[in-house]
This record gives sequence, C-alpha cells and structure tokens, in this order.
Amino acid sequence: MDNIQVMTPESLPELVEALKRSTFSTRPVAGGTDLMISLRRGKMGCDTLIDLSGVREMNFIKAEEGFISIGAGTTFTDIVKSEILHRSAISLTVASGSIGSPQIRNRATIGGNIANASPAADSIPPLLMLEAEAVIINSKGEYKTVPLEDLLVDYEKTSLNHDEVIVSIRFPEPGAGYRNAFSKIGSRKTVTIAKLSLAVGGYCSFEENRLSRVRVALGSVGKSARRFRSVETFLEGRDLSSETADLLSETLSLEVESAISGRSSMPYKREAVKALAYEVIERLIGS
Amino acid sequence: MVISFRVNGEEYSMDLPPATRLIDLLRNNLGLTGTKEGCGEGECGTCTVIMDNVAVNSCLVPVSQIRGKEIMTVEGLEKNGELDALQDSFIRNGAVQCGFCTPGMLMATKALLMENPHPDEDEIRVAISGNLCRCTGYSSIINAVKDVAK
Repeated sequence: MDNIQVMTPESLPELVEALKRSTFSTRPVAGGTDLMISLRRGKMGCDTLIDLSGVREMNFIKAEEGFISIGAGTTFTDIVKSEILHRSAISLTVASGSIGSPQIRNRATIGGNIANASPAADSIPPLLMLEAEAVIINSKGEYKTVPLEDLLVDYEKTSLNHDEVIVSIRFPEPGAGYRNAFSKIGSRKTVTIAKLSLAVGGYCSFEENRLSRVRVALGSVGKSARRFRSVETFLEGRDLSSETADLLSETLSLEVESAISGRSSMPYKREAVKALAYEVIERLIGS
Repeated sequence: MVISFRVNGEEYSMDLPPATRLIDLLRNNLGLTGTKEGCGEGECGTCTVIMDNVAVNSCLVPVSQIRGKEIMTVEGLEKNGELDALQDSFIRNGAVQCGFCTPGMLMATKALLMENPHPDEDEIRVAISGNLCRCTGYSSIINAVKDVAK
C-alpha cells in the first residue's frame, strides 16, 4: 500500500485529466469500503488510485426532466435520508439502508456499489427494477449512457474501460400509482451480505388493483443481479392479493432452481425466495 | 503526499503514502492507540472514529481522503481531564467488560448523539449495528446510551 499513488481531482474537468493518465493498473476509489480491503490483499494489480471523493459534481440527488438522478459519489447515508427517493423509489431506500452498518453507509457510494459489481450488491436489484442507466465519462471528456443491465457483464465485472468512470445513475421518475418493494435475506439482520434479494415494482391503482408494467429483479442468483422477465410477464395483470403471493412464491422458486441449478446453495435459495415473495407482496399491498 | 488535517482539535500536516489507512496513521504515526483494529475489513467496528461529524471505519479510509477533515478519536472525548458524560454512563452502567469494543462503541454512539441528542432504543440499536461486542450482550451498552439520551 505504501507504493500506491493517488490522484485527487476536485472537479469533473480535473477528473478527465486524471483519466487521461490512467493505465490498466489505475483504479477509481470513492468510499473505499470494498476497494481498501481488496487493495490490502495485494491481488488487484493496482499502483495508482483516482480518488473521486473530491469531485463535487458527483454528489447529488435530484429530480429533473422526468428522471431521478443520483450522483455516483452519493453515500448510502444520504440516499437513505433522501425525501425524493423515499417518495418515488422506496425499494432503493430500503435496500440502501440494509447495506453494511452506519459506518459503512457514511462512506460507501452508489457508484462504487455498482462498479464493484458484486452479485449481492444491494442497490442493484432496485435499480434494475427502476430501469436505471449509468452516465459514464471517459478520458476524452465524452459522456455515454449505458443501461445498468448492460453494464453488469459478469461476476464482479462491468463493461467499464480503465479510463471510464460512472458519474451518475438515473431512472425515469415513476408516476402516480407506482408501487415498489424490496426484501433481502442474509445470515444476520445487519452487516450482512445478501444471500438473496428481491425487488418488485409496478403500477397498481387502489381502485382497479391490477398490476401493470411490472419489473422484477433478483440479487445473489448468478453472476450479477438481473431482471426476470418471465416473472414480470407472470405478474402482469394480476391483482395484489394473497393468491398472487402464493403463485409468485412458486414461480420464483422454480426460476431460482433453474437459474442456479448447479450451485450448492440452490436447495436453500429456492425455499428462501418464497419468503421474499410473501414479504414483497405484503409490502406492495401496504404501500 | 502532504496531507493537512485535524485530530481531536489539533492541526497536523504530514507527508504520508496516500493510501495509508487512517487507523495506521492514528495508531502508529500519532500514537493514539485507543482506536483498535479487530478485523481490518469494516465488519467489527472497533476502529470507529468520527470524521467530519459522522462515524466511519478508520481501517477503510485512505489518508488521501482526510485532507482538510476533522477527526475525533476516543482520546478526544475527555475534556480537561474530565470524562465525557457518555463515558461516565458506560462505566456506571457496566457497559465496559474487556473494554476492547468500547472505543468503537463510544465513537459510534457519540456520533449518534451529535446528530440526535434524544435517540430512542431502535435508533441506538441501529447506531451500534456496526459494532461487535463479545462480552456484554449489548444491553448494558444500550442502557448507557439511553441514560444520556434523556
């Protein structure tokens, strides 16, 4: 660790300059709650860090032009406290509050959670459910927008090049009648990696009680969290009721069984997911 | 990298390898050994310090990120030889057994009280959810915080 150099850009233009100097052994760092551990293990092949914590333009939460946008450098403590997110994307608020501990949440950032690309990353199932996109900057100062689904390419791997950094994450602002819920199971109640997590969102008016435009994402099943489109189709048009909860638990169980059929955790997860289904439907009914 | 920062009210300016962990700066460079290392991974909370008014795991903070910041360690709770009310309460309530988790517990709960002087039990439990204790079973610690939260 003593030989590692650190660049400290204080603005987006300075970040672009830092990215120009980055090589394959350069890594961006924000809160450092994952990276500092990996760095210490000495297996990262990293000799230079780009410290993103000083880039003020990456720390924000705002609703504008039909999107809710969160700076990649925003900590989970700030995400949990956000009124905008509490109103429009409660599943993200709940998921963020389940990450680590207060000490971790005071430092860990949403950009880091995504870029670290753990299959158990808690912010990802809600973001996939919300159809989020990552706004990315490169060493030429060019921006591009990549759907989160496409950014997560493999276990702990994103499609980011060494000279690219996520600047913000955004999703279409949900309209009236939107409901969403998140549930997670781990070995403990706090400071626990998700063994399984579920995010479900869709439109459902109180009068009609019929789900539409449903999105379903599961975490900790496979190389990255992902949407389960067959489950979305299954829920489309159904009502929020205990019958739907029964059917959803069976459907998810079969999906989990086939998604991770070779894994030793499969017998556990295909049962545990049923509890998540009941919990999520109950929360959707209550919201 | 020359880094300027404050610890327990004192100004420092030091030339350090920028990826040095804050916990190593505090314990090794500054001799402030009250902050403990239990896991080095941000899971146990014994390394908790307060940085710019929030509790953080010092084992995970690279010193390049403490530039211009204000850090409080357990040594900073005492003022003019007098223990902080929170420290007194820990002693009174039997919240210190082996004492290893205590600095981290104090800093996590001090950070809570700085933001919210009257937390309820649930808020106290959340505040210490990142701090492990193998001795007390946590209830005496929670009572100690309740005592100063009134």
